[in-house]
Amino acid sequence: MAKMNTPAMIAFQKNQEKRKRIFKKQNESPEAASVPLWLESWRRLIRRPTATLGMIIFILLVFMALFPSLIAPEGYDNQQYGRLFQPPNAQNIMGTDNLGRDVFSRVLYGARYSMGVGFFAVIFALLIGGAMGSIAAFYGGRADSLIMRFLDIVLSIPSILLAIAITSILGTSIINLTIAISISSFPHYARIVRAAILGIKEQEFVEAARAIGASDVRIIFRHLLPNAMAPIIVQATVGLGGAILSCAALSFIGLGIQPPLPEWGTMLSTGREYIREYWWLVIFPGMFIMLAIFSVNLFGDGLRDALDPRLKQ
Amino acid sequence: MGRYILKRLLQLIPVLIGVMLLAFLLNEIAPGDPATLLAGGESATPEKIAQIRAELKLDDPFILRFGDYVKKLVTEGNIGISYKTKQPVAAEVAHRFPQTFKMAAISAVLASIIGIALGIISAIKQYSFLDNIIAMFSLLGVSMPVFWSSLLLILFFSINLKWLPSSGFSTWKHWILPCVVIGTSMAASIVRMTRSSMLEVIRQDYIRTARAKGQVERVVISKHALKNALIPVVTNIGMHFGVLLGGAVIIETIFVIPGIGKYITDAIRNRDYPVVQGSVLVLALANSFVNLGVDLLYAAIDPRIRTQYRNMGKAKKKKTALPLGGKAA
Repeated sequence: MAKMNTPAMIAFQKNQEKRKRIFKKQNESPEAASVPLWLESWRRLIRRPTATLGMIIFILLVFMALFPSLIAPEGYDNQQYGRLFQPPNAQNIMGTDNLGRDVFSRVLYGARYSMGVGFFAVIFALLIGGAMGSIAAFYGGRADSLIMRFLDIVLSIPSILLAIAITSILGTSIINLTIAISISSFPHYARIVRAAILGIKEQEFVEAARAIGASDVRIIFRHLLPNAMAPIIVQATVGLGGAILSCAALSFIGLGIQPPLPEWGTMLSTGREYIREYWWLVIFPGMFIMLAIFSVNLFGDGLRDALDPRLKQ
Repeated sequence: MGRYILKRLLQLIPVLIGVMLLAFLLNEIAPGDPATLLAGGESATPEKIAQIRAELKLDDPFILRFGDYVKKLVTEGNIGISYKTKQPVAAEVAHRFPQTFKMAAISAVLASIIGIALGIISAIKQYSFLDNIIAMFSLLGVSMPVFWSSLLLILFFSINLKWLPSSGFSTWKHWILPCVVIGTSMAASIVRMTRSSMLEVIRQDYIRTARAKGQVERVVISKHALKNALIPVVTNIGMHFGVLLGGAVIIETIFVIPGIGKYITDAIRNRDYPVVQGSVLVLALANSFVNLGVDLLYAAIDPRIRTQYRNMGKAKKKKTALPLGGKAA
């Protein structure tokens, strides 16, 4: 501070101000404005009608999952024995089931189970898989081969059987179901994260980060993972469809969410007993499982194309 | 080539030991005591339970039991005796595995033929009406849960039209519905894979070269393009096939087919640990063989991979010569 007035210092300050002005100008001029990657991808994404359609369906389903009581005409366990097995009609647009409950209301309430379990299962799987994949890719060598062998072992057991085994060990509850689905799917995430990080870890910016003394954890979280995000996001989207499917499938065979909760797979498994006479008990819950997975897949396809740098115009 | 296969088979050993350990561990942490179940539930006398525990050696430490298991497996080829039926697991698996394999194989062959054909058409006529239709149907196909499509087909073909039986496995008619269900969902996934892989290849320079030198379009597509686009497709088919061998539980439940998936699921519910361990081991082995088959198919398709396999021994030596380079990176 004391040397503020030396000529060299004054020249330096002027120079700094000049540089600041130049940078400001660059950032403000519309030609030079650089669009952040995510915004650019987002613009490319919503330009695709199919991806937008998928997103709209998905948002509607999420709304259903969060606020079913706003749309549903009745509660999900409103049993009325005067109207067993009513076919779809004006009052009950999807008919009523074996206990006289409104199928439409049950389907609406059901959204939160499959989709909630699917969502959290993907998050857990991402956390476990991401951690293992990052460690394997970043440290390489023995850690890498150890983790990869472990993944090979888990992958050689069919994931649905692994999930069945875990739910039967832990017992059937919503949390255990979520854990089972995430454990049976995390190797895929680990592999994707590993591949994505291996692809960028030799680049200069990582070396630069190391040179200024960044810790391993910081390099992984602040430098590697953000740059490896695209394939991970795509895998997570596709995986969400798979997780919703697994939740419904496990519930269908009686190892997931138990009645009277209106999970779609559970409803389907009840409906299966009455399939000969009452088709609507099978059609509607299944339709919503498909709709959920379909919307996620549509969105995931669009996302993959939007994030693929080779498809940039 | 023989050397490559041998190497892969040797690599299998640690994976299989790992699978055995994992299956053992899962059973170890499972609640519920198989001896109590076998003795007839909670009402059984403690003496009876203790006697069964001693018979099954359940009181031995984990390592001892695991060692015993591995020893029996290696010396007698015995993968366990069911607690429940007292029958060897191997015999039951040998009886059930063919059913599952038959279903998986028929579906996979059908799905591959239809899926690859539609995928090629879709890629050649990109953005056409036909392409859009195929794309939409294949997306629906991958989104459709197999247990729902099975029920729909049963509803339509078995209940309304009464053409096909809804469950069982005795005649060829019984196999139509399950194979169609698995086949369509698998074909849908193959179509998508073939399309995107073909589109990538078709844009390459060597395809333009082939066309420029006047090659017939049919040969350009079937020989130059398809052969190069086939690797990810084969991977996809192999993956599905492997999953089907063990994961067709739901289809087997719906159509009442006594396959291996159903066998394991029932065993898990009955806490019949030896059955779970034995059949999971067989499945892991089958899965590994499918993967090996896929890798060998790569070699058949792509001569570059063939030479890579042949050089495997040399490449290995190079790697071990520079252990520091690998670690420092």
